[in-house]
Amino acid sequence: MLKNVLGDELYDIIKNKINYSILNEIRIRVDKPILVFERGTPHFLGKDGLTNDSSRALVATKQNLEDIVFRASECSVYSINEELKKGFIMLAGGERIGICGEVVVEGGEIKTIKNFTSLNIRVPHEVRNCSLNAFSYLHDEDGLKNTLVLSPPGGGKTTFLRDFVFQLSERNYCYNVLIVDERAEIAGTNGSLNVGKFADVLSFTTKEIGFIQGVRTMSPHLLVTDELGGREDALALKEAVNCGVKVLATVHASSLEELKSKEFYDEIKDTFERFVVLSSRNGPGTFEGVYGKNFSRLSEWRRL
Amino acid sequence: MKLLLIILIFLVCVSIGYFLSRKYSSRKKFFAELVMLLEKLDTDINFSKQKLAEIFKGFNANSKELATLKQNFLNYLSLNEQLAKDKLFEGITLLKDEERETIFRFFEELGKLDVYNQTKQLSASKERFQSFCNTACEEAKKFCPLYIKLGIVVGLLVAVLLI
Repeated sequence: MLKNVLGDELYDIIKNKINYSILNEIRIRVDKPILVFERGTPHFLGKDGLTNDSSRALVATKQNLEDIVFRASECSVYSINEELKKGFIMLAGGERIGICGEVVVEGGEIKTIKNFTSLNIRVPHEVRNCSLNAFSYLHDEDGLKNTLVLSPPGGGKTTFLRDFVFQLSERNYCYNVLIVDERAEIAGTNGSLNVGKFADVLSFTTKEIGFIQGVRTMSPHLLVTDELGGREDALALKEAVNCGVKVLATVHASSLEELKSKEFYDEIKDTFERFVVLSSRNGPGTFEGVYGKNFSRLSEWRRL
Repeated sequence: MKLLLIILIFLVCVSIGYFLSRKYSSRKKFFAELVMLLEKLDTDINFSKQKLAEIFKGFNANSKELATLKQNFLNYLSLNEQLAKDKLFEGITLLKDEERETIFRFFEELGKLDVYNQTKQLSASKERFQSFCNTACEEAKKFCPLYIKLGIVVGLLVAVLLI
């Protein structure tokens, strides 16, 4: 999908002159050098591939950004207005384009974003077995544990979720898994990312609606969702747990202390039995450990 | 033999007249359907928010020239290139320069705006295309019968001269 979006010149460099399999992000800013992140490490992107010399880097123009958004919308910008309001566009391959520009607000409501100034293209990868270090702590003979995965942005939370669900399927644990995928980042669109045999995916819905609708209609054993963002999400999650559903969720936090300082912490503190901490210390997905209900450490860190 | 030749010349003259008149009826048909296409775009963009490629594929153009224009635009959508005037109007000869320019500017902007601005653009373009359509209708009304009649008159004149 990136091929159709980036344009031939940029895509050719990214496909042939850098290691695509470890590419995490492409940051494109108006009149600024293009940056790419490989395993969380930033590099400038030049005509011949990666460079640490900013003067040799490709510089993006306003037209480049507009073309990318235009192509990402399949030449129909009007059709992605709802996505623009939220500040991102999802591509069929699960790539997410975050957008910055002028936010048009009318009557206190965001109408759209125009005059794009920055794009952040996040490239998802299926990192097989990245959840195995934690797997046995999250699922044992008693079944699944309610689990919260913590990491700073770009720390590998979504990749962890995707792999954990895949590993359940690989081991033939026949749980009905419901993925409430707000931005289609966990499973991509049209099954573009593999989440195994037993997962149902509810995409582009809010957690509140997705949880209620999903629990009623799909009778899941495990509910998977990304990025708890506030009190509403926490309450919706709690409601699902009260229905007897196990949950696997993520939150932006670099440590348990940060988690405790979140405004919705009180709502979720009794919900989770396991906390998985990831970081980007040795690249995205660095496994820092698994913690139990009272935050007692259950495992040591290892590089994934 | 001479009679046969006279009939043949007469038929050729009438055919030329008919051929010249067809340009005007084709223009009329082209613009009438172009306005219909804009109405479809307006509805589909506002309500179903379908992608342009789907909307264009779902539009059945009876006008040969509009069908060509539609196909050229679909090719542009699939190729991810900048829209070029030559490619958009490839195979279309019946448009005047001003009309080509206006239609090109419309297609160049199509899909690049949000719903609100796209709808405004469609509405403004529809007015412009409707005026082209009205002019084409008037021209067709005036020139279609004229060229056919001219063909017949010239054919008869040649026939009389030959007799």
